[in-house]
Order: sequence, then structure tokens, then C-alpha cells
Amino acid sequence: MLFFECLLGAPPPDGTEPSPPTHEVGSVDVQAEVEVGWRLVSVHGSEAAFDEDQNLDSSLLLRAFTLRATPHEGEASPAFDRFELSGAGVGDPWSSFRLDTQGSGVHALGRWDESRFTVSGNESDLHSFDFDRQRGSLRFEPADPRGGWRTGIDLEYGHRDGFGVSTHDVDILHFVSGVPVKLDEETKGVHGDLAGPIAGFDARFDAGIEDLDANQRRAFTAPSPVDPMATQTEDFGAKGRGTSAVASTRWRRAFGTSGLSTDFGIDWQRAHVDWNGTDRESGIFFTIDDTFERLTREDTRGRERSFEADWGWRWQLAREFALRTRFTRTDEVEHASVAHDIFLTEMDVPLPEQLLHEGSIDESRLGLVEAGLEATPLPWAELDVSVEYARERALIQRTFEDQVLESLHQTVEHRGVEGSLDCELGRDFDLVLASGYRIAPTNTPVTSLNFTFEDERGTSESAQLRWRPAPGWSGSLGARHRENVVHELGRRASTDSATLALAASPSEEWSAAVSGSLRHYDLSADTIMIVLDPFPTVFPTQVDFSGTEAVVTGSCSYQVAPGFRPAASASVVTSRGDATFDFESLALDVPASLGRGWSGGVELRFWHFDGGKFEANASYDALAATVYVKVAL
Amino acid sequence: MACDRGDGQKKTSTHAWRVRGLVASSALLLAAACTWNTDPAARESWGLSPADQACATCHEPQASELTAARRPHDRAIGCTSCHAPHEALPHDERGPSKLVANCESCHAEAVAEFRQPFRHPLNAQVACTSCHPPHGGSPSELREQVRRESCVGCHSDKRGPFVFDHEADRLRRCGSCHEPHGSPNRRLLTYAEPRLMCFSCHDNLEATHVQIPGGTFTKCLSCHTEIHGSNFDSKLLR
Repeated sequence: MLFFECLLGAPPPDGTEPSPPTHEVGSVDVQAEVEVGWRLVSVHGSEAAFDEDQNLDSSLLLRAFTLRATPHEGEASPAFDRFELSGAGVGDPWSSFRLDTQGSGVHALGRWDESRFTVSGNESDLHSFDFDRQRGSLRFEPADPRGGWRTGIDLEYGHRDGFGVSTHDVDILHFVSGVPVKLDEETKGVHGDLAGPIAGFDARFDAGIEDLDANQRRAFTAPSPVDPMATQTEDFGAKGRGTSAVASTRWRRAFGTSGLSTDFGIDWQRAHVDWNGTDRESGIFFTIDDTFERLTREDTRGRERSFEADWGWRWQLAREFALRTRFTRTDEVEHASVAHDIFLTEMDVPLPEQLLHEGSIDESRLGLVEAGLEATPLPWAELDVSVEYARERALIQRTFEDQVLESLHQTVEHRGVEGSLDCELGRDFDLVLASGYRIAPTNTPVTSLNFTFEDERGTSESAQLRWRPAPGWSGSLGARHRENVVHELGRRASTDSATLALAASPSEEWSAAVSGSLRHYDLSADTIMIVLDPFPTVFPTQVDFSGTEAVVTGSCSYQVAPGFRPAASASVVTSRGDATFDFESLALDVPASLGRGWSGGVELRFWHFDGGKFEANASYDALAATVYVKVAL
Repeated sequence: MACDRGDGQKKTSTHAWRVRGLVASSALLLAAACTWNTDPAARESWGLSPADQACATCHEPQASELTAARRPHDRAIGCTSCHAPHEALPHDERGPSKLVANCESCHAEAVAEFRQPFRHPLNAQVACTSCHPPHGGSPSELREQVRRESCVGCHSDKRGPFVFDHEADRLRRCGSCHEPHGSPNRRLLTYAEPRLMCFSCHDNLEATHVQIPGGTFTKCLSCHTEIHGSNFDSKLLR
């Protein structure tokens, strides 16, 4: 408390924050609030990495605004019974607007979100990308639903516009980096829902349809990766159209005092997408004299459909004992095909037109049974055990010119068991022990004709001690071990972690939280190495990754006076091993009530990222300071 | 791994009868329960505590979701654990009654995840309830909503439909490579080195992909740029 008082001076004399005053405008009562600010950002080092990690700019901000209107008491408005428009984050990389209005028996809810993101290239992924995204929806529903029935219809819109840097593969050994790529896509959809009681069940029906319209463009001129004296060019454009439709229903019922409850549902989805593209390329194949020009027309088609039905019930047979079961049936079908129509001119000699087809089929028919029991063998212990078993009929096929390159037609099994024991060690302590074992199929990565699945065995064990001595106080101490092994493929991955988290609000004035976690990971996998001297020879070898990450976070806030609650938070991460880096961040928020409907504050943020040898080009130090004022108009 | 080619037909047949037996048993149980108690008044109990039953009389959908849930938002944590109905009566029809507790009141570990150096933003667009239904739901509903819908609801460019999907783990979906709340690693990745995520599934590589230190093929995403799905190339190269 002394720290903040010294830092900030005496608290404002009037710390209370009154509700916004109401203004009469004709026959309408109006309330309005607005919060504006200004943010200054200073970055030293990699601005691209900072933009991706923090996504903040120097900017004037309309942090929030609200406009509420209701008809004056006792008077009716012909336009609406209630109107509220609010927004947040204007000037930020993400902004949001909401509309909530009711009139003539219809309740309308609208939302509009805008986001702007940056993805920077780094040592392990060269590609950077910027994109803007808009999402909007408008929902209409009856203002006064009757008979327990609720319904609504949503109109949805989405748009994404991106510009990035990608890589173009010239052949299997050569590629051009820094290729600009433009992507934009637009979706429009309509969705309806209906829910209400039928024959003692709570039933819900959903259905919707969405249309996708997308464009992709890629063009560059660059030195050829085969011989820089030559030039490699590409001009690629494509247009995609797609439609998806969904329908689902879910029924749920609790059978009163019998302790039995059940639910069942059906989900159906169908989607198709078609792309038509034209690719014009020029360059050299092997030597500078081996020039080529190639025009490729590409038509791709994707078809997906899925159906899932599940039925589950839970029976509380006694106060200390319950059983549950769920049956799930899933059918998924994905078909894809690509037709390449190639016109190649090599060393100014036109070659015969080539028409090539690729095909891809993925089908899965899965039946899953899950069963579990919940028991309280002792007054202070709850046991939960579940087992699952599934059989999946999988069909995978890749073809090229009607020739089957890869295929699998096999029935595989999934098996799993997990359990948890929740022990109340005292009035304030709760210990949860959990363990699980799962066998799931994973395909051999080197696919071929009639390839197979192998078993991947996954185990997990965890222990978590929860502490909740009083409302506002909570703590958690946990440890977890996970391991996945595929013996046949020589693959083993394990992760061990320990986490301590504490949060406290000793009084309405104080709150604080602190956490620390330590994680160690270890992965090894069989792979190959090629030695070129004297002749290319393939040797089996193994790649290993391991490392440790330590994270410490903390936060606290103190209410010096009503409406005046400074807060600070910090986090530190240190990563050692195959990925070595350090990161620290510090945040300080100082809000204050200025009286007479005015409030404001200052937010300070500091970041330090040292990529070390792992991401040397991504290191940065940055500071962001925001000043804001909120006023009720 | 069991395979039903050859003698597998017998296994399939035996398994099918077992499944049919389970289905038939469950149908009988359900039918019996339907006939036992169909009194609408009895439904009002919802298996909730007496204090929360008052809420359930008006808020049937929320009560139904609570009873469908197993843990932790079941009877041990009822309506009044988070809502203060008396302070808000009559309820404001525009939203839920005043909250006396929110997610972070209990989920200290989730708070800690959101304090990680790289974390998913929480703002006017995204809150805990954007992904997690606060009143729960059946395990199947929750699994589907969180694992299939939550991420791509906003990140629509990762939703597709793609002509060629990247088959991540069927159950974990986006969580195969990303930590949704927060991570010590950039892009909310499970591991700092993206190659680790690739090797989690793809370890026996084709002969051209030599894993010598600093080699071209140690940077998987340099070529497989369309890692979330491609409309033109089955190898996700463009």
C-alpha cells in the first residue's frame, strides 16, 4: 500500500464512480460513456517478432464506448423497447462492436469484430504473413419466447485478407524463398436454431449453410536457384468456391428422482470446395541453356461429409455410485482430386500437352463405446474410472494416373482407460490423482502400397493438490508426466512438468497471484542420414531433442480507494536445451477515478526477448505506455 | 495392432454381437426408466441442491446443461457458487445475474497459463466462455465444441474445407501442436522448435530428408508452407 501511495500520491478525494447520467432526448432516455486513450510503443530489436508476439502499435485509441437508450418511463417508443450499442478496441489490432436492441417483439443481437495479425519469419519458419480479418453476425430471436420454446436465426459474414511471403519449390532440391502471396476469402452463412420441450426431453435443432469465395495469387521474378545467372518466374492465380452445410439435433432428459439422465444427438456435415488455377512459370531445369516455359491449368476438387450419432446415459444408482455409457458412431469421407493440364516448352520446343490426375481418398467408419463409473468409496474420496474401445474401418488411397501409390484398407482398434481419484484431505485441501493409458493407431510415415498402422502407446500420470481455504483464495500444486511411444518406429516422446499456482484475495482491497512451472521434454526418433562420399549411402540414425523450460509469473492489485486499484504483473521464462531463449515481461496498470463521472489511468508494458542462438534474429526490447480517460457524457 | 484381414471376420462378428448386446441392454434400461417416472414436476429437481432447484424452475436450459455435465460444474458447484441471485432480483433481463465468482476464482492453474509470456489474448472478442460453456454439457458436446469448433470459430482460415487436410491428432485437433491458453513458446506452440511437432508423428522420413545439422530439410516449414491444409498439393507444399 505504501508503495502505491508513494508512487501515485494521495488517492482522489472522490473515488466513487457514478452511473452515467441519463439525458432525455424526446421520449427517450439516453446514457452514454466513452473511453479514449493514446498508446506509445517503442521497440528496439526485431520489430517483426514484436509485432507477432504483442501485436500493438502506437495509436490513438477509442478503447470503449456505450450508448444506451430506452423509452422514457410510461411512454412507448415506436422504434424500440431497448437499444444498446457498444464497442471496444478501436485503434487496437482487434476491435469489437455489439448491438443489442429489442422492439416489435423481436430481439436483435449484432456483433462485428475486426482483427489484424502479423506472423514474422524466424529461424525455423522463414515465412512472414500479415492478415486482416472481419467477422460479423446478426441474430434475430423472439423477444418473448412462449411455451418454453426458443428459436433464432443468425446471419453470418466473414472476410480475411492476407499478404505473405512464401516459398516456391522449383524441383525437389531447389526452391525460391521470398515469394509474395496474396490470399483473400469471404464467407457468408445463415444458421438457425430451435429448442424446446418435446415429450419430456429438452430438444435442440440446429441447421446452417455457408458459402466460401476465395482467391489466391502468387507472382515473382527471382534468380534461378539452379543457376543465379538465369531467371525464375512464376505467375499463379486461383479462384475457389465452396459450400458447407450442417445440421444437428440433441435431446436431453433427466428422469426426475430415478437418477437417470440421458442425451442423444446427431451431427451431419457436408462440404465441397472447388479451385481453378492457372500457373505460368519460366526458368531453367538443369543448366542455363535448358530453359523452359510452362503453363499449368489446375482444377482441384474436395468433397467431405461426416455423420455422427451418439447416445449416452448416466444413472445415479445411489448417492455414492453412478454409471455412465456412451455409444458414438462416426462416418467420415474425404475425397480429393487434382487435374493438371500442362503445356511445356523446353528450349523453345513445345512438348505434347500432358494431362495428369491425382486422387486421394480418406474414409473412416468408427464405432466407439465409452463406459464409466463414479463412486464415492469413502466419504472423502471420489473415484472416476472410464474405459473406451473403438473399432475404426479406415480406407486411405493415393493415386496418380489411376495407379495406386499408397493404400491402406484396414480395421484398427483404439483402446483407452483413465481414472481419477479425488480426495478431500481436509476442509481446505483436495488431491486429485489421475492416470491414463491409451493405444491408438498411427500410420507408418513412409507410406507405400498397402502400408500399415502401428500402435502408439500413450501414458499419462498426474497429481494435483488444490487448496481453497476460503472464497477468493486458491492454490494448486501439480505434477504431470506424459509419454508416447511407437516401438516399431523407434519413436519416444516424453514431457514432465510441475506447476505451482497461488491466488489470493485476502480482502476486497487486495488480490495477488503467483505461479511457477518447470517443464522438461525429451523426444527421440529414428530417421536417416545420407553420406555422399564416396557414394551416396543411407545410414539409419536418430534425432534427439531435449530441453527444460522454467516459467514464473506473478500479479497483484490493491484498491487504494473505490475506483482506484493499481495492478502489476510479471512473467519470466527461461528455456535451456535444444531451444535456448529468455523472455521477461512486466505490466503496470494504474487506473484512477477522477470524480464527477471522469476516470482514467496509465498502463505500462515492458518486454525483453532474447532469442539466444535459437532465434537470434527475433530478439527485442519493447515498451508500451497507454494513457486513457473515461467519461460519462 | 489387431487386423481383421484373414481371420479377422470372426473377431468382427463377435465384437458386433457384443456391441448389439450393449445397445439392447441400454435401450431396455432407458425404456424402463421412461416408464418409471415421467412426472414433469419431478424433473424440476434436476438432481441439484435444494437452493439451486429454485434457479432451475426458470432456467431449465442451464440446469439441463449442469446435470448433463459430470465434473466439475455439477452439483458440488451449483448456481449460487458463481451467481448472486438475491442481489440481482428482479434479474436484469439483458444478461446473467451478478457474478460473485468467475472462472479465475477457482482455476488458478488456468490463470497461470494466461500469465505465460505467450498467451491467447482475452479481450472484448474472446473470453473463457467463448470456448468453454460455463454451465457444462455432456462430455461429447464439450469435446466437440472445444476441440473442433472453438479454435476455427475465429481462425476460419484454418477451418477449411481444404482439398488436402493436415491430419492432426483426431482427438486433440489444434492441441496437437498448440497450447490454447498460453505457452512459453512463440505462436503458442507446444515446443519451441517446430520440428519437434513434426517429428511427433513424422519420424521415418523419405530418403531425401537428411537430418544433418543446419541442413535444408531440418526446417520442415520452409517447404511445407501450407501446414494447416492445402488446396493444391497433397504434400502441403503450396
